Formats: sequence, structure tokens, C-alpha cells
Amino acid sequence: MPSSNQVLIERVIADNCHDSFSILVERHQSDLRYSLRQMTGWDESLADDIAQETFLKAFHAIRTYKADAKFSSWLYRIAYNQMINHFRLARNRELTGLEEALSSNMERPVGGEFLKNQLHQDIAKAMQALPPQQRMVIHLHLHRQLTHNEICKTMEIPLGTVKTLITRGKARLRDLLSNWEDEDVK
Amino acid sequence: MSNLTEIDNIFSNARNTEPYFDDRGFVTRVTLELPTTSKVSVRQESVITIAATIIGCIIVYQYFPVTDLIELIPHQFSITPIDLLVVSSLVSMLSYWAAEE
Repeated sequence: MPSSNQVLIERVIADNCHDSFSILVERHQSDLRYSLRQMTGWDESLADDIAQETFLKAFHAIRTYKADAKFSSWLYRIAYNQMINHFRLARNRELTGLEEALSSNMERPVGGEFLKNQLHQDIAKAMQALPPQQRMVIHLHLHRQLTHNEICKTMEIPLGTVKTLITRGKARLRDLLSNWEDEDVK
Repeated sequence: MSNLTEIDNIFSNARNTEPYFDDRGFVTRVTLELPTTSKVSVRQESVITIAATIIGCIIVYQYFPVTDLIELIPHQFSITPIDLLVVSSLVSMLSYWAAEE
């Protein structure tokens, strides 16, 4: 029977157990790497770099993890901080990404499997039009389906701010993703 | 259907078709970057510390002239009014400082 996250975390804390931490990474890597692709305009290399930094930070800070929160939410918080640090260091690069995102959103070929992949990338590119904090809030709410209160705790921002960011973010994305409104990619 | 609901549907489609990313060496890359495992675990470290402390105490008890030192402590004190004043002043100052802190 596979060990729970909490058991693995306790082993990491007690014995500095790399194997237990590897299992945690394996469990969460796909979700986190996908989320970071969404946050970075589907820049696979950058997303993976931030994901790797996130897991390393998590390992060093594992003693600060509180079991009353989801481990994945805790990881998202660290990932968000890593992403912000990265954007601070490469602000110009982010602005370039934003321009590319806005200009490349217009054309979209049609076709089954391609549509599925294209949807993820189009969302990621549209998200580039939002500030990083709003991107994360929108992603956690609309994609990861976290409640407003969960986002509040994860992002450490007031409830009112979360609601405002979601409402405004949705309105902004509605314009950018208007091409997808009548598509069904299932 | 409202426009906001349409956005929810777009994200719902994305959620339902979210790809699973194969590891492809990602876990190994992370694991290689982890700080080297300590040869002694935290638990073992605690046991060693406690055992060493106990052994140290026994050695000290055997060889250190504890009883001689205890006998050096005076059994009776005589305190003058001046000493009493100095001591009470010091205690007052210390209490004031502690309260301020």
C-alpha cells in the first residue's frame, strides 16, 4: 500500500530520507509542471526549471509544512514565490512573452488531438496577459478548483482580493479566449 | 450561456484533457540536487548525544571532587544593613530592567 504524503514527509524530516522525497516529487511533478507551464506561457524549459527549484526549496523547508494544508497547495505557494523571483530577475523577458502571447492568440488550426494540446497552450498564452499573482489565482480556482478560502490561505492574500482577481481575470480571459467559446475538445 | 460560464467551460475542458507529463529524468535531476544525506540520522544523533552526556556525568561524578566543593559553600551568612541595601537595589534594578524588556 503506498505511503501517504504525511508519512513520507515525516520520514524526510526524521531521517532526511531522499527516497521518500523522491516519491513525493514523482507524485506531484506532473501537476506542478503543468501548472507552471500555464504560468509561463507554456515555456517548457522555464517551467521545469522553476518546478525543480520549487521541489528543492520544499525539501529545505519541509519542517515548516503544516499538515492542516494540502501538500500540493503548499507546493503551489513555493512555486509562486519562485516564479515571482524569476520574473523579477527577468522582467524584460516577461514583457516580450506578453507581446508574443497577445499576437499569437489570433490564429488557431482545427483538429482533434491537436485541439486538446492547443487549448492548454492557448490558455497559457492568454494567461500571460494577466499579472503573475492573478494568473496563479485564476489557475488555482478555475483549473485546480480550489475554493476562494483555500486560495486565500495558499496565496496569503485577503478574500476580497481573491474574488476581485478572479472576476476581473475571467473577464480579461473571455476576450483573449473568445475563439474557444464554442469548441468541445473532449 | 453567460460569457463567464463559457470561460469556466474552457477551463473545464482543459482540466479534463490535462496531459500527464512523464518523469523523463525530472525526479532524478531533483534528487541529485538534494543536499547529501547525513550519515547519522537526527534520531541517532539524539541517542548519541544523550549517551555521551550520561557517560560524561558518570566520569565527572567519579573523578571530580564534588563533595569538597559542596563543603566549601558557607553554612552561615551574616549580612550587614549596607549589604542588604546593595542587594535590594540590585534586585530592584534587575526587576525594572526585566519589566522594561
